[in-house]
Amino acid sequence: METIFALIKQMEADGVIGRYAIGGAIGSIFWLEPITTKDIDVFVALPTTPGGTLLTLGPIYEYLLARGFAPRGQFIIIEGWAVEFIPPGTPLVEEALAKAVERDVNGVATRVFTAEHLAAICLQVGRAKDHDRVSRFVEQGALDAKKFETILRRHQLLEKWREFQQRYLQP
Amino acid sequence: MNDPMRQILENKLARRKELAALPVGEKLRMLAQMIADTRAITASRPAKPTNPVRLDTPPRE
Repeated sequence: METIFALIKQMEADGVIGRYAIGGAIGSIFWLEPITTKDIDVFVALPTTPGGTLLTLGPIYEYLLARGFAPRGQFIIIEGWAVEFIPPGTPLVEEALAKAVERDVNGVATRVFTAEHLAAICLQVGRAKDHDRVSRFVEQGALDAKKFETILRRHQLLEKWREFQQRYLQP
Repeated sequence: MNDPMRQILENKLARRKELAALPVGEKLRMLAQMIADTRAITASRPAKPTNPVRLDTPPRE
């Protein structure tokens, strides 16, 4: 996977993508125990085309296909992993991307969402697997309570958090 | 919840914390291994069951 992290970093250096950060299950693994997943979610700021405001993933695909990687649906297969490049779709994800932190993986630097942002995104998305992940963040003490609450307040997620606590965290 | 069940959950959480504390590179290697193991299980199909009514005929490939 280090090869993939190095490739993404190179894409940023080459200007194909703007700021990027790893999210999703792989991002969570930076803070939690290994979680089964088959894809890598790479959140990216896309450079806008000159004179236009249209955001397109085209240059990413062109860059990677030219290097011999194959597309599969919305993914690109790199080293056997399905990698998806996702522009931030909500203010919360935009903030997560802006506040992402640098991490070293066996000598390769990469950027990952903070535990607090990953948990907040899971809470916002709200599928069963997302709720399970929030529980893991909480149970393992992976969250800074103050930072987490600040994020929840800023993105109007406190009510969801109260409901979540009542449903899953009450003894 | 009874005591044995509580103990199982506590052990599970303790193990998760141990795994979470590993270096990221090691955790990602473990994930890759889990996926490879799952693929290996999927790829190995069990032999077809023998039809007891047709025991005198050779098993089909």
